[in-house]
Amino acid sequence: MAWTTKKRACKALYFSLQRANQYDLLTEFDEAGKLKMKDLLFYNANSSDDLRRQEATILSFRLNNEFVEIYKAKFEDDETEAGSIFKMTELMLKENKTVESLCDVVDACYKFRDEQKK
Amino acid sequence: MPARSILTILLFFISTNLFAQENVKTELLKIFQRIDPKEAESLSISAVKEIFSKPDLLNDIFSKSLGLLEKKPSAPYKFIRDLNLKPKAFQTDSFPVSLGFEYKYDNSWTKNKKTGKSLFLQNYDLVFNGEVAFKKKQNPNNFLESSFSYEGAFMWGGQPMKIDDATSDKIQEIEDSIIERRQRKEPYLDLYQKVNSLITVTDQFYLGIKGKFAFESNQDFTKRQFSPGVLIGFGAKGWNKNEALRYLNILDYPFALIRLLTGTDAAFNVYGATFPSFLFGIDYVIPNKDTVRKTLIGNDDPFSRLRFEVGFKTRVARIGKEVIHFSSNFRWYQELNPNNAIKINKLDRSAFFVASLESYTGLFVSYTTGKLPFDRKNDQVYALGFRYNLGNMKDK
Repeated sequence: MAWTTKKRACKALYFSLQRANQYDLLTEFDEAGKLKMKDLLFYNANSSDDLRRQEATILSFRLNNEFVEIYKAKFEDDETEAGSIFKMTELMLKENKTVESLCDVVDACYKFRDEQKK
Repeated sequence: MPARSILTILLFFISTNLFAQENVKTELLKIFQRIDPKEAESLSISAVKEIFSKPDLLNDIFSKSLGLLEKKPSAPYKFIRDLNLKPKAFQTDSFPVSLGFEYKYDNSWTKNKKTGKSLFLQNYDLVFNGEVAFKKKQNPNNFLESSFSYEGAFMWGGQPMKIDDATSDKIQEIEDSIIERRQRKEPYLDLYQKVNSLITVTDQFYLGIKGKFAFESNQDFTKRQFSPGVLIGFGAKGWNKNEALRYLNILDYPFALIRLLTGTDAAFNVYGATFPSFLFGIDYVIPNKDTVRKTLIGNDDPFSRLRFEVGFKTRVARIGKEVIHFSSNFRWYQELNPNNAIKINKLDRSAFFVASLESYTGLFVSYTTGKLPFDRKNDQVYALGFRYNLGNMKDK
């Protein structure tokens, strides 16, 4: 899936990461998709894997809460809240994965309103 | 056990091929029976022999089998999908090349329990990995690891205030307008204020415990060891601008000032997102070929060690398209009940600190001081450079 303004999953991720201050307000939508995990505030390359996992889990929990509460997203069939948080966390631990790749995981786990209407 | 494992793996490969052969044979038999029922059996056998002597066809069948694994898995496929096997040739200095394989099985199960605004997230991870040579003496990496880890994280907060569907729609409409205005290079900050007035996220806390139990051995299990460890993690995020938590993030104060002075932030803004995270734990360490310990105390017996770690990362400034981040990490290790010789040589304790400034494009300056447990002396290292990612080493 491409990083596009046509998908609610991409827009929700863009704004949720911005609200969580992972990048600043000046970061444009197109730029955000290309950012790598190591460019986000939660990813500390100097920390141990254990500490990085902790930071990633904290952020993925908040993202999950935003998708469900603010965007009223439902889980895809066979997906659970714990599974979705875990999948986002696993991707976030890979320093060179992009926000666009994270959006693929989000899209695979959550059904946003634009998909629910179909 | 190795012989049994090898047999199981070979059987897996052979059975995939045999299964395909049987299928093809059954289909051919149906056709040949219609033409010549007497010769059907022998014709189908020779046809199968002919077909399966062609590597291209075998490749095709194998790729179809792999395609099956890609599809929505049934229970047995699900298990196999997490198992990675890689045939391997081992070459050590004086020995001839020996065949063998590398295996890795990594599976995680997650479970959660949500009560009100808190979540108890549990993760069980089972890992088996190692390298097995058919002639064990020729295995240079004669090490198998089987580990089970449990991670339980209790998280609460980080919760947006409840909103109804109409408010959700309104937020999404405003966000669409923000993107449109940004694309048209029109002012958009007022729209962000509108969205922020509709959303309040509570402060978030994390308390986690991780236990790892690893069983390590050589490939015939004549040498084996058990290495457990426990870690407790604590983290907090001051997401809510109206709460005091973010102001306790004293490490961010100097950077909030720099951001203000460089115009990165319009006001003195302490980030709640950069609240440092902590880890405290106890490791059971099994020294491996530690000649220094062996010389000092006459053995390389296992020992217990306390461990503490804190990590902090924040934004320093934005200069044009470049964003500069500061990240630091401090680790402290203390051996429990160390031998006197270890104490006198200051090998019982180590502390390590690293700090770096790095830009989006990879330009970095870093400073490191202290030592990690395996370092022999304290070092102070300054580095200036440019990081470029040539591959995808940590990508997968």
